[in-house]
Amino acid sequence: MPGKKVHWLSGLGVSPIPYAHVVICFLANKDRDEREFDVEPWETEALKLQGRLFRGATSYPSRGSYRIADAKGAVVEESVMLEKTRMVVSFISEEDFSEEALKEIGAFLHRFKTKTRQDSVGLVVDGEMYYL
Amino acid sequence: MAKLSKERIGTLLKAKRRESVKTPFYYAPPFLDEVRKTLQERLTSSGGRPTVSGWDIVRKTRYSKKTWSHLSGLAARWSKAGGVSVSPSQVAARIVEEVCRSHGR
Repeated sequence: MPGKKVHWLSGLGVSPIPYAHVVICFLANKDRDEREFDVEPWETEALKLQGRLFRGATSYPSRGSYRIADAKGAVVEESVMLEKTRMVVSFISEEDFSEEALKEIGAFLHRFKTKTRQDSVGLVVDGEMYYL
Repeated sequence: MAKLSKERIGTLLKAKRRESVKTPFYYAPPFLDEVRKTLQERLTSSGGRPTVSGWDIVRKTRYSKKTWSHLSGLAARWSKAGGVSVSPSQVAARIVEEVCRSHGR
């Protein structure tokens, strides 16, 4: 079609969808005492939640490391914990990026933190890492 | 809805603290892979050095030795792997083109 703009990825069979925000939840599979637990139900819940709030989500299996510190924040010996982290990513339109949605994500992650005995839970919103 | 500040987002999430992630590793596509692939797809030759249709303006641009060396390395690897001869300037032009496109979106 004359004059029609074609995205540079269109040759690869990709149709870009505009989005305004990115949210990524990091779900570890070990508690603060390095005990493993089944993170898959949490991953599924995150996918459902982010799918409902943000129209979609994609999760990735990954490995992560976490520097352990004592209660005062000092790094202790043997201080890195290795985990099999799940990342749950949503690309979000401005319309869906609401205060209510962020509250729900925060509540979910606080529940994950408490129930799975995490020292801290992280998520990224638009290039900013928030620690809960 | 008004734009949410980082402070407001932190409050809504009940976050203890926050810090900036300078490199958007988590959602950035493999930029150079895309640049390489689209450049190789668009390069055509009618007998001489392959070029991209629509790249009509020629300008002299200065580079640092380090940058030029990096561009040369990319061009050499892409030429070898892709079967199409790519020059360092074409790599640079395609990177600039994509950055301008993204910035002007």
